[in-house]
Amino acid sequence: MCRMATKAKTTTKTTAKAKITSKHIIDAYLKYVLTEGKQPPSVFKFANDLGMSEAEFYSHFTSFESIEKGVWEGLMGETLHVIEKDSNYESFNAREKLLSFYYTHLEVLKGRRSFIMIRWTGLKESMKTPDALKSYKEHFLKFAKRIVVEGINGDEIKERSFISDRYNQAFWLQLVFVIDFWVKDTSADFEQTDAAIEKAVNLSFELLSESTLDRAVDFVKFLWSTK
Amino acid sequence: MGGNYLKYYAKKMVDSETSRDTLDEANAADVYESLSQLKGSALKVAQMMSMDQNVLPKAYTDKFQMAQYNAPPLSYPLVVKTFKKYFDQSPDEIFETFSSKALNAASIGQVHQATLEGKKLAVKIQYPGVANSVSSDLKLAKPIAMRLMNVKGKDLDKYLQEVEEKLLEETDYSLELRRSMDLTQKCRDLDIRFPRYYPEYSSERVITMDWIDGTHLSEWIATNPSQEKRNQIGQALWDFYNYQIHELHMVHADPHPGNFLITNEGQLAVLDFGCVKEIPLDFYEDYFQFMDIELVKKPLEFNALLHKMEFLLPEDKPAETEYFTRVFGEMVSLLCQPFGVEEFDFSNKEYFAGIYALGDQVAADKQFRKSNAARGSKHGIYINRTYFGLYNILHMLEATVKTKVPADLMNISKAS
Repeated sequence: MCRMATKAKTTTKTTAKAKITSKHIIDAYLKYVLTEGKQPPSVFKFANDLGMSEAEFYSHFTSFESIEKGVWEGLMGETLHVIEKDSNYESFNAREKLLSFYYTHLEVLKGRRSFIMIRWTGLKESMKTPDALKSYKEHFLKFAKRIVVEGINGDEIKERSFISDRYNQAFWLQLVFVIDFWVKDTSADFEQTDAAIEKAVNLSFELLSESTLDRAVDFVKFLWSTK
Repeated sequence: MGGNYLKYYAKKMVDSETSRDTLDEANAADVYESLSQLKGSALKVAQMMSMDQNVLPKAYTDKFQMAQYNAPPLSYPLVVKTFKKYFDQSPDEIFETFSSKALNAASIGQVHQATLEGKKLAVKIQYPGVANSVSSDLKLAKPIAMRLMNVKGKDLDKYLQEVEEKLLEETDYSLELRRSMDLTQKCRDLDIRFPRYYPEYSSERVITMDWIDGTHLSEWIATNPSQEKRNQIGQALWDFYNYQIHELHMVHADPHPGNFLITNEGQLAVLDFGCVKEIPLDFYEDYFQFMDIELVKKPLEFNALLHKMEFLLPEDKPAETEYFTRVFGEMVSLLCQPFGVEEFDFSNKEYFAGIYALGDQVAADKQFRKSNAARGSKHGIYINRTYFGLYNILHMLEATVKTKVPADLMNISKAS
């Protein structure tokens, strides 16, 4: 602990006026949490060790919780940025875009796997969306909404009154499933998760396309109305 | 084991339509039911252990094949991910063109077509998670294999171990690449076309090789080629196997028609080296002594060899020893017939019918069924499979082949 503090001070000295960015704060915070196994004792101490004033800290984040929120938001932001930059991405259909999202997202998550491992169970078990995941989820839902619209336009997804507005919520549950699978995956380079993604996405698109389900519903409606 | 094997293969060669009858009817329904619950590599193992899918009636095999290939193709984004992982670049950055859809499905992967510097390439990519599932699938297949082969579970383990090892090898594309390059290099003087391999675009999960234009062997046969052409292809195939077995002691152990093409120039091309069996020298020396057709006539020596090869077991009763010596003697003299002559006509229906009859007779024999010990060395599984597969293709080709193995190729020390 003591050594860490000294180290932080020396860095401050050499990079005297270097501006501390949100990224620095996130990295230092995660390093602390992962090596110490708990949050820093106070914002004051944390900011001090980083060579900044407490006030300066608040210009970036309001609390340690908001840093964690920022971590999740950053993971989603980076993923969406990477896929949209990819030259192939635009030529993909909705199913491929979603797959591409998952594969990219897992690569991004890999860089923060330890942090996700210690937080995931707690996050998953809360009944409503935890604060830490709020903006992460918000950005994903927007992305999923675009996938759904493209899917409907490209005839990959069937529009169904009342429920098609909720499709992106279903994709959110799928994302939670995928991360959960990945957290538990012990195969080399998480290959089993790749297989799970292929199967989950294929299944979801089969359910969302014009399917047996629609014909079953149609048939039941018919029987009902002719009774 | 030898008996089951013989029976099913022989049956397949002669008539695959009626093979259901050859299975013990009382057992059959049960076995099919358990088999129908298997998927993926468990199914493959069950097939391997029962030696061939044609053990089963066609309707069933069709269904199983579907199950086996039912794995939906890898999505293009996963192909891109795989490429980035191994080569840091996506396929369209590496190649001039790359088909985003797979053109062929292999049993554990799929094949894309690419071009580089104007050359057509085949890029084979493995499905994720295949290697992981091999061992657990094998456990599922064990009880069924025990049933099909009428062998005790403990005895089966040595064979299952051999199969597991081979299946795991098949999932290691780096190994396949090394073997492919090695074997094709060593076989370069034979009358066979091999693709060139590109290690710089290959990895544990990807193999890049030349794309060879041509016709699949079975389609080619359907075009009614001349006898001369058939003989030429048959001979090339025979020589290829002879050379590998006797010279390299390492053999492409999957002579399945789907692994061969006839190029537009009319040459035989070999495509897939996923399954290669290295033949241990002591096994080799024992096994190929059976090719000496005079051996059966020397009871003492023949008996000693059967013991050494684990066809006869120390705990056998005298009656069993006598019985199995006779049965294996008949099998060996029949199966090794092509080796005893200068030239062999594989279109000979009577020959294959003879194999079939013997197999059937053995299978129906109470004595054979009663003894549920596993017989035969584990190395035999893939070598027998290779020869049966080879005979089968030559029979399909109706080729006449110069079968005499040149004496200088056979390096068996007669003293042993």
